[in-house]
Amino acid sequence: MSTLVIEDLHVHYGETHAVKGVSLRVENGELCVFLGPSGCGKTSTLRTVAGLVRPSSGRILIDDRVVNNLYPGERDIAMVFQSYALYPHMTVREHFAFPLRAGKMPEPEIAKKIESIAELLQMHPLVDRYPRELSAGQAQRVAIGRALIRTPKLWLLDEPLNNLDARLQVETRAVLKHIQRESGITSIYVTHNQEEAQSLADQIVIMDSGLIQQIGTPQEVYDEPTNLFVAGFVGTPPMNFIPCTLSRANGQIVLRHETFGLELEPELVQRVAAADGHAVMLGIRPEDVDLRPVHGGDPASDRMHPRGTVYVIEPQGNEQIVSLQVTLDVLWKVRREANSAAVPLESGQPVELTLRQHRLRLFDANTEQRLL
Amino acid sequence: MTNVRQSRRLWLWYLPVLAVTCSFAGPFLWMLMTTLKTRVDTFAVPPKFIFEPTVANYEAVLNSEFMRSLGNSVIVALISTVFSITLGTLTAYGFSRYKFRRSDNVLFWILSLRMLPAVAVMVPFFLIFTSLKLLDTHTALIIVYSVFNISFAVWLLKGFFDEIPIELEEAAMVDGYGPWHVFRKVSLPMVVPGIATTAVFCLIQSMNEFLLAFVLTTRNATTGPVALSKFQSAVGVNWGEISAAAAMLVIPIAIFTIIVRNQLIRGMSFGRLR
Amino acid sequence: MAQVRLDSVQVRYDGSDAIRDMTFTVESGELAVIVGPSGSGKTTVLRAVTGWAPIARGDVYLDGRRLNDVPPGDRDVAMVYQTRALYGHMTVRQNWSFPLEAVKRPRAEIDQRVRQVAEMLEMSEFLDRYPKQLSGGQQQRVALGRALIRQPTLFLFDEPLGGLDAKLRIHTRSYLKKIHADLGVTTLYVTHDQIEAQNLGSRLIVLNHGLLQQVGTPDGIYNRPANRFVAGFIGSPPMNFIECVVSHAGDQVMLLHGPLRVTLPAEKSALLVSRASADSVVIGIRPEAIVLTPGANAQTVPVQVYVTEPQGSEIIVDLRFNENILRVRGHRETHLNFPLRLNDIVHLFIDPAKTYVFDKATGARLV
Repeated sequence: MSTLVIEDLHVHYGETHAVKGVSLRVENGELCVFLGPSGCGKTSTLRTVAGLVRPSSGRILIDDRVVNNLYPGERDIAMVFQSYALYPHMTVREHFAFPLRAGKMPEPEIAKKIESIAELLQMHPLVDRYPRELSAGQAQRVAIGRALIRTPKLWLLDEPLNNLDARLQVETRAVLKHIQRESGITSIYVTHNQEEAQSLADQIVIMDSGLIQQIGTPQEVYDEPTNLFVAGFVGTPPMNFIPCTLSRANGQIVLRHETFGLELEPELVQRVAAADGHAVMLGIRPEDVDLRPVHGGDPASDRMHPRGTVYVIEPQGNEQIVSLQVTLDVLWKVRREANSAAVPLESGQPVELTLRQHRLRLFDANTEQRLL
Repeated sequence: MTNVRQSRRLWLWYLPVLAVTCSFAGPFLWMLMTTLKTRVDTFAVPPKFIFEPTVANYEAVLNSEFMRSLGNSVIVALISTVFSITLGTLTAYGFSRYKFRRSDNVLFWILSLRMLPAVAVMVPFFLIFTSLKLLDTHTALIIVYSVFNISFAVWLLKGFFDEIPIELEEAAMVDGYGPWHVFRKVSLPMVVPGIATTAVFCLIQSMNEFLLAFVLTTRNATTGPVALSKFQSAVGVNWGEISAAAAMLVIPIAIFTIIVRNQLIRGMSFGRLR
Repeated sequence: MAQVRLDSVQVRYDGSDAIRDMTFTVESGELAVIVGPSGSGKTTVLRAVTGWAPIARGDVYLDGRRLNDVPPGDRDVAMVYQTRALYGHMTVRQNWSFPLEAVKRPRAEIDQRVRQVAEMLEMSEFLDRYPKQLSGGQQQRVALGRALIRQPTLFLFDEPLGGLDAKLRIHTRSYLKKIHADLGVTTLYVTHDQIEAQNLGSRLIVLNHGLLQQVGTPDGIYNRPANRFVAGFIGSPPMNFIECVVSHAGDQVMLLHGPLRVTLPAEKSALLVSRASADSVVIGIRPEAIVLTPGANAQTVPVQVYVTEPQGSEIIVDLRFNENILRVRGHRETHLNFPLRLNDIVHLFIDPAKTYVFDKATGARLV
């Protein structure tokens, strides 16, 4: 039963300011994912919670108790490392026993716990092997077992699935989530893979350049990103953007671009708090765009919808990802089903794009904050 | 490109290997043969490969003062090595894991001690030990050899400690162990191959050392190499006996190496850890 | 015409087969992707074509010419590696000039080619930089340029996008596909990522354990997999497999597993009967083809929620059905817009029209 609170955390590595004032709260039993590109400060934050890195300022509280001055071993936490950090000179069984022996648990009890962990992770045939005799997936399970065997207050995971091949990643992801749910241990998971973050998290903390960009559920950060960075980082293929000028007249809003003028639906107009002439960035996700072939004709300034020429078509299972050249610098991707109803497209073909407006997002071109 | 292993002219590749092996092992094998030859056979021209072996040389050496020197060598080398490894391991770990102000400079200073030529320090050492009344004792040699051995041990062992991923130690810390236990239970077991390798080198260097032993000992604490130099007599050099003595000098090292051979292989290839 | 043809090629390493009976053809100008799990022999195939792997049996042809005894340098193929293998002490310009200088092309020609490649790859401003001054994606383009500049008959790519982060991978992938379309040079591309394979290739060559599993278009392989391995390997999340007992009800075949009953339509039933006589088979159904409902009906079976994984506008639900874990993929706002909590019981329908049937022993697709 543990909560974690981080108050105004700053971490410096020499000259570099890696974490610039991070504050957050993780509730009991929650799986909180720190998500961001490499160098954003997520791993540094995790390591301060673990006690492996000393913060320059800020407090870490586990169960309302300040732990800044405690050794890692005194914080009652468990950690799974990216490289698993298995001890080459110990068998799997000894790996499981190792953390329990630090707490001076009696041997018969240790043996019982090893049994139940081996059962949970289906590792019975492997308990007497050495790390060099295990596959990557098996080594990973040993790392997980070693972390779980103690039922710690906090479970910390540092990109544990990175070294597995794509399929094993997907499978292990589900197992990890299930184990965390069943055991109810408060967990912090660090990754740069946004698919993984969405799959696993109760709460996602998105970071960039040492600062928190947004905290929310997977659905919240996907549907309602607070800024341009979050919008472009979460979701694959990434959100499509194009710079526009917002033009207000007669109670209407038109998003103007050199090549089109998109009229915003009436219900949406009142939600946009920006003045006429404001520079904005229009964002729309690949699955929220419909396309149909056109045959040129009307001049650009009269167009109501954006257009593009087909750049490349990439099949993906039962769908297709169509890349479109919208302007010289802007490339959009559209997702659509590859069934018989789909209009066949060829490279170089011009198409017109209809955007599902209730999914359209607008961002201030300067502050990058979300307007709609 | 043809794969070497599949080349049909494989035997050609063996020739250079054979040549190198012969040039290294040759003198040693010749010396071994000499230990079993009579005086006459030793000087025979052309050199004799087939002869009547005799153990007279070994008998002479076993009954002589040389055995005492051999004992001295073993004692000095062993104690110096144990002392150097103990201190060296701890020091090397400190340099590997903890960075303090000017740690690079201090490390280099320690390593530079190994580079001291024996000739440059023999007179100062002589004077120091004379005033301490430690001439011709085991203690003097142990101290002197340790200076060089510790330096060498720190150098080698720091490399081995650097190879251990820091995450393993972090994992142990998170598992609940303090810094000393982490060292003892995780880091130390992982450098055992390195320690074995270092020990072998320290032993070899100590057993082979001549100049300082020569300068610092007279009668009681002479070591093997010094004793070997005294095998000359009025009637010339007794090659058979010298060879026998030299062969016996090799034995302690050979025994130790055989004992730790498994660790050595791992240490030599700087152990691939998963 | 730079057609690549492998005929029963076998390569052995350390006494065991890395690849065997490898036979396929890649037509001139195609981008063929060789895909399979690690250790399946994909890189070995590439090495057989470049000449760095000894061929124990079989022949490799490029453009009609038998390559087996031709030294690697004379085969006119260019390879791009995952590690990029750039010359760190040379500028971009020098990296690109190097292969042409090696064959003593005139200076003027080299300079012109460098300019052309720089323009094509949008690297004109970086020509005088050193590799370590460039980002990962730019380094990738330098590696690409070094292969492009030789204008070879055949391009080989060995997992070139491995070191890039997710966004850059996706971007570079489309870019590579476009460049290939513009240049039209026959290309063999190796990857273990089946999504990448589907995205890029006009022809997919699927390998497992050193053996060819199937060759075809991405659509063809996705919708008509030749065997269980291909069906389970291509597509994410992977296809669900359930072992079933075959039972007959008149003309129709019913496949049973516990409470699950899948009744095959007439033509499929007839096909199954004619092809197999076993009493148990394995059925396969894709995650997007399964229908999940909160309530039961005559055709559903109850299953228990194991885990839910949100993925953008979709959700992937893992369900426990007896000892199997089945995965369902659906849109958050339409198909799967009802509550799905851990251990909830929901109901699952498998459409017989979308069900595949595989032979239990050989794995071959029967229907």
